[in-house]
Amino acid sequence: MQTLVTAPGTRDALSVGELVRALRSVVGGHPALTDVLVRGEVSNVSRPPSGLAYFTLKDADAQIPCVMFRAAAGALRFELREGIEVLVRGDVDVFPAKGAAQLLAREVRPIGHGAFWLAFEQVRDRLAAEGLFAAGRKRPLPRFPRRIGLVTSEAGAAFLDVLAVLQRRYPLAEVLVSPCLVQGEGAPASIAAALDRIAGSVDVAILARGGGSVEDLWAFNDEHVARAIARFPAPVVSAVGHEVDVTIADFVADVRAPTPSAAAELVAPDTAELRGRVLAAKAVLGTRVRERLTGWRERIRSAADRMRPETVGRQIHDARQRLDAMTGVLKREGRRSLEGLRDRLASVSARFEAVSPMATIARGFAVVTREDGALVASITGASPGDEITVHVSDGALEAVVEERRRKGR
Amino acid sequence: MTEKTFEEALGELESKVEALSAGHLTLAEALRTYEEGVALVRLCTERLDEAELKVTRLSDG
Repeated sequence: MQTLVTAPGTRDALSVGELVRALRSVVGGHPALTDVLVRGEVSNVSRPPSGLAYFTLKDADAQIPCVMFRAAAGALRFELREGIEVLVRGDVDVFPAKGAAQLLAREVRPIGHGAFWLAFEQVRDRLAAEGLFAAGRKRPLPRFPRRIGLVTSEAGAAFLDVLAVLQRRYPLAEVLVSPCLVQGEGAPASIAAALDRIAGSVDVAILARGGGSVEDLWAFNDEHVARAIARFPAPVVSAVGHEVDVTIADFVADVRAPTPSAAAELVAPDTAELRGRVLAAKAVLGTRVRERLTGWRERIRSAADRMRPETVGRQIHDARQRLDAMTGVLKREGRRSLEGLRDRLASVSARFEAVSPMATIARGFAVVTREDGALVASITGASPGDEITVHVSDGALEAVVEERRRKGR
Repeated sequence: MTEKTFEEALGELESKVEALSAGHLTLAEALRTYEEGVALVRLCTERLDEAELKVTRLSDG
Protein backbone atom coordinates (compact mmCIF):
# COMPACT_ATOMS: atom_id res chain seq x y z
CA MET A 1 0.00 0.00 0.00
CA GLN A 2 1.42 3.32 -0.96
CA THR A 3 1.51 6.30 1.33
CA LEU A 4 1.43 9.90 0.27
CA VAL A 5 4.92 10.41 1.58
CA THR A 6 6.50 7.76 -0.54
CA ALA A 7 4.41 8.54 -3.57
CA PRO A 8 6.17 10.06 -6.54
CA GLY A 9 5.07 13.27 -8.18
CA THR A 10 5.85 15.84 -5.44
CA ARG A 11 5.48 18.33 -8.21
CA ASP A 12 1.76 17.60 -8.19
CA ALA A 13 1.35 18.52 -4.45
CA LEU A 14 -0.84 21.55 -3.68
CA SER A 15 0.48 24.46 -1.71
CA VAL A 16 -1.54 25.34 1.38
CA GLY A 17 -2.63 28.51 -0.29
CA GLU A 18 -3.90 26.56 -3.25
CA LEU A 19 -5.81 24.21 -1.01
CA VAL A 20 -7.39 26.99 0.97
CA ARG A 21 -8.23 28.87 -2.21
CA ALA A 22 -9.83 25.70 -3.50
CA LEU A 23 -11.78 25.40 -0.33
CA ARG A 24 -12.77 29.02 -0.54
CA SER A 25 -13.89 28.65 -4.14
CA VAL A 26 -16.20 25.84 -3.10
CA VAL A 27 -17.51 27.46 0.05
CA GLY A 28 -17.62 31.12 -0.93
CA GLY A 29 -20.71 31.89 -2.91
CA HIS A 30 -22.16 28.42 -2.47
CA PRO A 31 -25.93 28.89 -2.58
CA ALA A 32 -26.44 26.85 0.59
CA LEU A 33 -23.89 29.01 2.42
CA THR A 34 -24.87 32.43 1.07
CA ASP A 35 -27.36 34.71 2.82
CA VAL A 36 -27.99 32.12 5.45
CA LEU A 37 -29.95 32.69 8.61
CA VAL A 38 -28.41 30.94 11.60
CA ARG A 39 -29.61 30.70 15.11
CA GLY A 40 -27.20 30.27 17.98
CA GLU A 41 -25.71 31.49 21.20
CA VAL A 42 -23.08 34.22 21.30
CA SER A 43 -19.74 33.62 22.99
CA ASN A 44 -16.13 34.89 22.91
CA VAL A 45 -17.13 38.41 21.94
CA SER A 46 -14.28 40.69 20.97
CA ARG A 47 -14.66 44.29 19.84
CA PRO A 48 -11.25 45.70 18.96
CA PRO A 49 -10.81 49.43 18.29
CA SER A 50 -10.91 48.75 14.57
CA GLY A 51 -14.70 48.73 14.87
CA LEU A 52 -15.06 45.14 13.74
CA ALA A 53 -16.83 42.67 15.96
CA TYR A 54 -15.75 39.08 16.45
CA PHE A 55 -17.69 36.38 18.21
CA THR A 56 -18.38 32.70 18.11
CA LEU A 57 -21.83 31.38 17.37
CA LYS A 58 -22.50 28.04 18.97
CA ASP A 59 -25.06 25.53 20.04
CA ALA A 60 -24.87 22.32 22.02
CA ASP A 61 -22.64 20.44 19.61
CA ALA A 62 -20.99 22.87 17.17
CA GLN A 63 -19.59 26.35 16.75
CA ILE A 64 -18.50 28.74 14.01
CA PRO A 65 -16.47 31.93 14.22
CA CYS A 66 -18.29 35.08 13.12
CA VAL A 67 -17.06 38.49 12.08
CA MET A 68 -19.01 41.70 11.55
CA PHE A 69 -17.59 44.51 9.51
CA ARG A 70 -17.63 48.02 10.85
CA ALA A 71 -20.86 49.24 9.26
CA ALA A 72 -22.80 46.22 10.44
CA ALA A 73 -21.26 46.29 13.91
CA GLY A 74 -22.00 50.01 14.26
CA ALA A 75 -25.65 49.43 13.39
CA LEU A 76 -26.13 47.01 16.30
CA ARG A 77 -28.86 48.32 18.59
CA PHE A 78 -27.80 46.17 21.49
CA GLU A 79 -24.62 44.98 23.05
CA LEU A 80 -23.27 41.65 21.82
CA ARG A 81 -22.97 39.76 25.02
CA GLU A 82 -21.90 36.31 26.10
CA GLY A 83 -24.78 33.88 26.26
CA ILE A 84 -27.50 35.73 24.37
CA GLU A 85 -29.50 33.98 21.69
CA VAL A 86 -29.31 35.61 18.30
CA LEU A 87 -30.30 35.26 14.69
CA VAL A 88 -27.43 35.95 12.35
CA ARG A 89 -27.81 36.65 8.66
CA GLY A 90 -24.68 36.46 6.55
CA ASP A 91 -22.44 34.50 4.23
CA VAL A 92 -19.96 31.77 4.94
CA ASP A 93 -16.45 32.37 3.72
CA VAL A 94 -12.99 31.01 4.38
CA PHE A 95 -10.41 33.20 6.04
CA PRO A 96 -7.13 32.23 4.32
CA ALA A 97 -4.83 33.18 7.18
CA LYS A 98 -6.64 30.73 9.44
CA GLY A 99 -7.76 28.25 6.86
CA ALA A 100 -11.10 28.07 8.54
CA ALA A 101 -14.62 28.84 7.50
CA GLN A 102 -16.34 31.77 9.21
CA LEU A 103 -19.63 33.51 9.05
CA LEU A 104 -19.56 37.10 7.80
CA ALA A 105 -22.49 38.45 9.78
CA ARG A 106 -24.29 41.28 8.08
CA GLU A 107 -27.08 41.48 10.61
CA VAL A 108 -27.45 40.17 14.14
CA ARG A 109 -30.72 40.35 16.04
CA PRO A 110 -31.60 39.13 19.48
CA ILE A 111 -34.13 36.37 19.32
CA GLY A 112 -37.70 36.43 20.43
CA HIS A 113 -40.36 38.85 21.47
CA GLY A 114 -38.04 40.65 23.87
CA ALA A 115 -35.45 41.46 21.24
CA PHE A 116 -35.97 45.21 21.56
CA TRP A 117 -36.15 44.94 25.27
CA LEU A 118 -32.72 43.43 25.47
CA ALA A 119 -31.21 46.55 23.88
CA PHE A 120 -33.51 48.69 25.95
CA GLU A 121 -32.44 47.05 29.18
CA GLN A 122 -28.79 47.27 28.28
CA VAL A 123 -28.93 51.02 27.65
CA ARG A 124 -31.17 51.52 30.66
CA ASP A 125 -28.87 49.59 32.98
CA ARG A 126 -25.79 51.41 31.78
CA LEU A 127 -27.32 54.87 32.21
CA ALA A 128 -28.84 53.89 35.55
CA ALA A 129 -25.39 52.81 36.74
CA GLU A 130 -24.13 56.27 35.75
CA GLY A 131 -26.84 57.80 37.90
CA LEU A 132 -28.68 59.52 35.05
CA PHE A 133 -32.07 58.45 36.39
CA ALA A 134 -31.38 59.41 40.01
CA ALA A 135 -34.24 61.13 41.77
CA GLY A 136 -31.78 63.75 43.00
CA ARG A 137 -31.21 64.89 39.41
CA LYS A 138 -34.88 65.70 38.82
CA ARG A 139 -35.50 69.42 38.63
CA PRO A 140 -38.79 71.04 39.56
CA LEU A 141 -40.78 72.69 36.77
CA PRO A 142 -40.87 76.49 36.79
CA ARG A 143 -44.16 77.93 38.04
CA PHE A 144 -44.47 80.53 35.31
CA PRO A 145 -42.33 79.51 32.33
CA ARG A 146 -41.75 82.50 30.06
CA ARG A 147 -40.27 80.50 27.20
CA ILE A 148 -41.25 76.90 26.56
CA GLY A 149 -39.19 74.74 24.23
CA LEU A 150 -41.01 72.21 22.08
CA VAL A 151 -38.89 69.48 20.53
CA THR A 152 -40.93 67.34 18.17
CA SER A 153 -41.77 66.75 14.53
CA GLU A 154 -43.84 69.54 13.02
CA ALA A 155 -45.66 66.92 10.99
CA GLY A 156 -46.88 65.05 14.05
CA ALA A 157 -50.14 65.36 15.93
CA ALA A 158 -48.16 65.90 19.14
CA PHE A 159 -47.00 69.27 17.81
CA LEU A 160 -50.52 70.63 17.35
CA ASP A 161 -51.78 69.02 20.57
CA VAL A 162 -49.13 70.76 22.64
CA LEU A 163 -49.65 74.15 20.99
CA ALA A 164 -53.42 73.91 21.44
CA VAL A 165 -53.13 73.20 25.16
CA LEU A 166 -50.59 75.98 25.68
CA GLN A 167 -52.76 78.49 23.79
CA ARG A 168 -55.76 77.54 25.91
CA ARG A 169 -54.05 77.37 29.29
CA TYR A 170 -51.17 79.77 29.23
CA PRO A 171 -51.04 82.12 26.26
CA LEU A 172 -48.67 84.34 28.25
CA ALA A 173 -45.78 82.13 27.22
CA GLU A 174 -43.60 82.10 24.16
CA VAL A 175 -43.06 78.71 22.52
CA LEU A 176 -39.76 77.95 20.86
CA VAL A 177 -40.29 75.12 18.40
CA SER A 178 -37.18 73.11 17.66
CA PRO A 179 -38.15 70.62 14.95
CA CYS A 180 -36.59 67.19 14.67
CA LEU A 181 -37.05 63.76 13.16
CA VAL A 182 -38.86 61.49 15.58
CA GLN A 183 -38.27 58.16 13.90
CA GLY A 184 -35.86 56.46 11.59
CA GLU A 185 -32.13 56.21 11.31
CA GLY A 186 -31.26 59.88 11.84
CA ALA A 187 -33.82 60.53 14.58
CA PRO A 188 -31.58 60.14 17.67
CA ALA A 189 -28.99 62.61 16.37
CA SER A 190 -31.74 64.96 15.18
CA ILE A 191 -33.51 64.91 18.57
CA ALA A 192 -30.25 65.51 20.45
CA ALA A 193 -29.38 68.41 18.13
CA ALA A 194 -32.87 69.92 18.48
CA LEU A 195 -32.51 69.86 22.26
CA ASP A 196 -29.01 71.34 22.17
CA ARG A 197 -30.25 74.10 19.85
CA ILE A 198 -32.63 75.55 22.44
CA ALA A 199 -30.44 74.85 25.48
CA GLY A 200 -30.17 78.05 27.49
CA SER A 201 -33.03 79.79 25.63
CA VAL A 202 -36.00 78.25 27.43
CA ASP A 203 -37.22 77.81 31.00
CA VAL A 204 -38.54 74.31 30.32
CA ALA A 205 -38.67 71.94 27.34
CA ILE A 206 -41.22 69.42 26.13
CA LEU A 207 -39.91 66.43 24.18
CA ALA A 208 -42.91 64.95 22.45
CA ARG A 209 -43.91 62.30 19.97
CA GLY A 210 -47.29 60.77 19.23
CA GLY A 211 -48.06 57.08 19.56
CA GLY A 212 -46.45 54.40 17.44
CA SER A 213 -44.99 50.93 17.44
CA VAL A 214 -42.03 50.05 19.63
CA GLU A 215 -39.85 50.44 16.51
CA ASP A 216 -41.36 53.86 15.79
CA LEU A 217 -40.52 55.08 19.27
CA TRP A 218 -37.08 53.53 19.22
CA ALA A 219 -35.16 56.78 18.81
CA PHE A 220 -36.28 57.77 22.30
CA ASN A 221 -34.42 54.80 23.74
CA ASP A 222 -31.19 55.98 22.20
CA GLU A 223 -28.31 56.84 24.45
CA HIS A 224 -27.55 60.09 22.57
CA VAL A 225 -31.07 61.32 23.22
CA ALA A 226 -30.77 60.34 26.88
CA ARG A 227 -27.53 62.26 27.25
CA ALA A 228 -28.92 65.33 25.47
CA ILE A 229 -31.80 65.37 27.98
CA ALA A 230 -29.42 64.91 30.89
CA ARG A 231 -27.23 67.84 29.87
CA PHE A 232 -30.16 70.14 29.03
CA PRO A 233 -29.87 73.15 31.37
CA ALA A 234 -33.62 73.46 32.07
CA PRO A 235 -36.15 70.84 33.16
CA VAL A 236 -37.34 68.49 30.39
CA VAL A 237 -40.80 66.94 30.25
CA SER A 238 -40.97 63.80 28.11
CA ALA A 239 -44.15 62.72 26.40
CA VAL A 240 -43.46 59.88 24.04
CA GLY A 241 -46.20 57.69 22.61
CA HIS A 242 -49.13 56.66 24.72
CA GLU A 243 -49.32 56.23 28.45
CA VAL A 244 -48.23 52.57 28.25
CA ASP A 245 -45.06 53.35 26.30
CA VAL A 246 -42.06 53.89 28.45
CA THR A 247 -38.79 54.97 26.88
CA ILE A 248 -35.32 55.67 28.17
CA ALA A 249 -36.03 59.36 27.50
CA ASP A 250 -38.81 59.13 30.12
CA PHE A 251 -36.34 57.87 32.71
CA VAL A 252 -33.87 60.68 32.12
CA ALA A 253 -36.47 63.45 31.80
CA ASP A 254 -37.25 65.52 34.88
CA VAL A 255 -40.93 64.75 34.49
CA ARG A 256 -42.64 62.08 32.41
CA ALA A 257 -46.02 62.97 30.99
CA PRO A 258 -48.37 60.24 29.74
CA THR A 259 -49.17 62.15 26.51
CA PRO A 260 -48.01 65.32 24.71
CA SER A 261 -51.19 67.16 25.80
CA ALA A 262 -50.57 66.14 29.39
CA ALA A 263 -47.01 67.46 29.09
CA ALA A 264 -48.34 70.84 27.99
CA GLU A 265 -50.73 70.87 30.93
CA LEU A 266 -47.92 70.05 33.36
CA VAL A 267 -45.73 72.79 31.96
CA ALA A 268 -48.28 75.57 31.69
CA PRO A 269 -50.14 77.01 34.65
CA ASP A 270 -53.84 77.39 33.98
CA THR A 271 -54.81 80.94 33.07
CA ALA A 272 -58.30 80.43 34.54
CA GLU A 273 -56.65 79.52 37.83
CA LEU A 274 -54.42 82.59 37.56
CA ARG A 275 -57.42 84.80 36.89
CA GLY A 276 -58.97 83.34 40.03
CA ARG A 277 -55.88 84.25 42.00
CA VAL A 278 -55.95 87.81 40.72
CA LEU A 279 -59.61 88.17 41.64
CA ALA A 280 -59.02 86.66 45.07
CA ALA A 281 -56.16 89.07 45.66
CA LYS A 282 -58.41 91.94 44.59
CA ALA A 283 -61.13 90.87 47.04
CA VAL A 284 -58.69 90.49 49.93
CA LEU A 285 -57.16 93.86 49.08
CA GLY A 286 -60.58 95.53 49.32
CA THR A 287 -61.54 93.77 52.55
CA ARG A 288 -58.25 94.58 54.22
CA VAL A 289 -58.24 98.24 53.33
CA ARG A 290 -61.86 98.56 54.59
CA GLU A 291 -60.86 96.83 57.83
CA ARG A 292 -57.93 99.14 58.26
CA LEU A 293 -60.08 102.22 57.59
CA THR A 294 -62.70 101.03 60.10
CA GLY A 295 -59.93 100.52 62.63
CA TRP A 296 -58.62 104.03 62.17
CA ARG A 297 -62.15 105.52 62.32
CA GLU A 298 -62.60 103.68 65.61
CA ARG A 299 -59.43 105.17 67.02
CA ILE A 300 -60.44 108.69 65.94
CA ARG A 301 -63.87 108.27 67.57
CA SER A 302 -62.38 107.14 70.85
CA ALA A 303 -59.87 110.03 70.75
CA ALA A 304 -62.72 112.49 70.15
CA ASP A 305 -64.63 110.95 73.05
CA ARG A 306 -61.75 111.67 75.35
CA MET A 307 -61.68 115.33 74.24
CA ARG A 308 -65.33 116.17 75.24
CA PRO A 309 -65.80 118.83 78.13
CA GLU A 310 -67.59 116.44 80.48
CA THR A 311 -64.85 113.89 79.97
CA VAL A 312 -62.22 116.53 80.59
CA GLY A 313 -64.12 117.82 83.71
CA ARG A 314 -64.30 114.30 85.06
CA GLN A 315 -60.63 113.89 84.42
CA ILE A 316 -59.85 117.13 86.35
CA HIS A 317 -62.03 115.97 89.24
CA ASP A 318 -60.27 112.62 89.24
CA ALA A 319 -56.92 114.32 89.18
CA ARG A 320 -57.84 116.53 92.11
CA GLN A 321 -58.95 113.54 94.15
CA ARG A 322 -55.70 111.82 93.39
CA LEU A 323 -53.85 115.00 94.44
CA ASP A 324 -55.76 115.13 97.76
CA ALA A 325 -55.02 111.55 98.45
CA MET A 326 -51.39 112.16 97.73
CA THR A 327 -51.28 115.17 100.05
CA GLY A 328 -52.67 113.07 102.91
CA VAL A 329 -50.12 110.42 102.28
CA LEU A 330 -47.37 113.02 102.19
CA LYS A 331 -48.41 114.54 105.52
CA ARG A 332 -48.59 111.21 107.20
CA GLU A 333 -45.25 110.23 105.82
CA GLY A 334 -43.75 113.59 106.86
CA ARG A 335 -44.92 113.17 110.44
CA ARG A 336 -43.65 109.69 110.58
CA SER A 337 -40.22 110.70 109.40
CA LEU A 338 -40.04 113.64 111.87
CA GLU A 339 -40.70 111.30 114.78
CA GLY A 340 -38.05 109.01 113.45
CA LEU A 341 -35.55 111.85 113.36
CA ARG A 342 -36.38 112.79 116.93
CA ASP A 343 -35.79 109.25 118.12
CA ARG A 344 -32.51 109.10 116.29
CA LEU A 345 -31.44 112.44 117.84
CA ALA A 346 -32.21 111.20 121.37
CA SER A 347 -30.21 108.07 120.81
CA VAL A 348 -27.29 109.99 119.34
CA SER A 349 -27.23 112.54 122.21
CA ALA A 350 -27.35 109.74 124.79
CA ARG A 351 -24.33 108.14 123.18
CA PHE A 352 -22.70 111.55 123.01
CA GLU A 353 -23.32 112.17 126.76
CA ALA A 354 -21.58 108.94 127.54
CA VAL A 355 -18.35 110.04 125.89
CA SER A 356 -18.55 113.71 126.97
CA PRO A 357 -15.66 115.01 129.17
CA MET A 358 -18.31 116.28 131.56
CA ALA A 359 -19.23 112.71 132.33
CA THR A 360 -15.57 112.04 133.21
CA ILE A 361 -15.56 115.04 135.54
CA ALA A 362 -18.61 113.69 137.27
CA ARG A 363 -16.54 110.68 138.22
CA GLY A 364 -14.08 112.94 140.21
CA PHE A 365 -11.67 114.13 137.55
CA ALA A 366 -11.04 117.84 136.87
CA VAL A 367 -10.29 119.90 133.77
CA VAL A 368 -7.75 122.74 133.95
CA THR A 369 -7.92 125.73 131.64
CA ARG A 370 -5.83 128.81 131.25
CA GLU A 371 -7.09 132.35 131.38
CA ASP A 372 -7.49 132.29 127.59
CA GLY A 373 -9.66 129.14 127.91
CA ALA A 374 -7.10 126.73 126.45
CA LEU A 375 -6.89 123.31 128.06
CA VAL A 376 -3.81 122.64 130.19
CA ALA A 377 -2.74 119.10 129.42
CA SER A 378 1.00 119.39 130.18
CA ILE A 379 3.30 121.19 132.65
CA THR A 380 4.34 123.36 129.76
CA GLY A 381 0.77 124.61 129.45
CA ALA A 382 1.20 127.04 132.35
CA SER A 383 4.03 128.76 134.17
CA PRO A 384 4.39 129.47 137.92
CA GLY A 385 2.34 132.54 138.69
CA ASP A 386 -0.27 131.94 135.95
CA GLU A 387 -3.87 131.96 137.01
CA ILE A 388 -5.71 128.81 136.04
CA THR A 389 -9.27 127.52 136.38
CA VAL A 390 -9.98 124.04 137.77
CA HIS A 391 -13.34 122.77 136.46
CA VAL A 392 -15.07 120.17 138.61
CA SER A 393 -18.51 118.65 138.35
CA ASP A 394 -20.45 121.34 140.12
CA GLY A 395 -18.41 124.47 139.29
CA ALA A 396 -14.86 125.80 139.08
CA LEU A 397 -11.95 126.68 141.40
CA GLU A 398 -9.76 129.68 140.51
CA ALA A 399 -6.05 128.89 141.36
CA VAL A 400 -2.48 130.16 140.83
CA VAL A 401 0.38 127.89 139.66
CA GLU A 402 3.12 127.75 142.30
CA GLU A 403 5.61 125.35 140.89
CA ARG A 404 6.21 123.26 137.75
CA ARG A 405 7.24 119.73 138.59
CA ARG A 406 8.10 117.14 135.91
CA LYS A 407 6.94 113.56 136.35
CA GLY A 408 9.51 111.06 137.59
CA ARG A 409 11.72 113.67 139.49
CA MET B 1 -41.08 101.92 34.02
CA THR B 2 -40.15 98.83 32.05
CA GLU B 3 -42.84 96.43 30.90
CA LYS B 4 -43.87 94.27 33.83
CA THR B 5 -44.58 90.60 33.13
CA PHE B 6 -47.74 88.96 34.34
CA GLU B 7 -45.81 86.88 36.86
CA GLU B 8 -44.05 89.93 38.28
CA ALA B 9 -47.33 91.81 38.54
CA LEU B 10 -49.05 88.86 40.25
CA GLY B 11 -46.15 88.48 42.66
CA GLU B 12 -46.27 92.17 43.54
CA LEU B 13 -50.02 92.07 43.94
CA GLU B 14 -49.77 89.18 46.38
CA SER B 15 -47.07 90.86 48.43
CA LYS B 16 -49.22 94.01 48.63
CA VAL B 17 -52.13 91.95 49.95
CA GLU B 18 -49.77 90.53 52.55
CA ALA B 19 -48.44 93.94 53.56
CA LEU B 20 -51.94 95.29 53.92
CA SER B 21 -53.01 92.25 55.96
CA ALA B 22 -50.02 92.51 58.29
CA GLY B 23 -51.41 95.85 59.46
CA HIS B 24 -48.37 97.94 60.34
CA LEU B 25 -48.74 100.45 57.52
CA THR B 26 -49.63 104.07 58.17
CA LEU B 27 -52.92 105.33 56.78
CA ALA B 28 -51.15 106.96 53.83
CA GLU B 29 -49.13 103.83 53.14
CA ALA B 30 -52.21 101.62 53.37
CA LEU B 31 -54.14 103.75 50.92
CA ARG B 32 -51.21 103.90 48.53
CA THR B 33 -50.75 100.11 48.79
CA TYR B 34 -54.42 99.62 48.03
CA GLU B 35 -54.30 101.90 44.99
CA GLU B 36 -51.19 100.17 43.67
CA GLY B 37 -52.83 96.81 44.29
CA VAL B 38 -55.88 97.80 42.29
CA ALA B 39 -53.64 98.99 39.45
CA LEU B 40 -51.86 95.61 39.51
CA VAL B 41 -55.18 93.77 39.40
CA ARG B 42 -56.05 95.76 36.30
CA LEU B 43 -52.65 95.06 34.75
CA CYS B 44 -52.87 91.31 35.46
CA THR B 45 -56.37 91.09 34.06
CA GLU B 46 -55.38 92.98 30.92
CA ARG B 47 -52.37 90.74 30.40
CA LEU B 48 -54.58 87.66 30.64
CA ASP B 49 -57.19 89.13 28.32
CA GLU B 50 -54.70 90.18 25.67
CA ALA B 51 -52.40 87.16 25.85
CA GLU B 52 -51.89 85.19 22.69
CA LEU B 53 -49.42 82.35 22.44
CA LYS B 54 -46.31 83.46 20.62
CA VAL B 55 -44.76 80.66 18.58
CA THR B 56 -41.23 80.96 17.25
CA ARG B 57 -39.82 78.28 15.00
CA LEU B 58 -36.13 77.55 14.97
CA SER B 59 -34.75 76.25 11.72
CA ASP B 60 -33.17 72.86 12.03
CA GLY B 61 -29.47 72.42 11.45
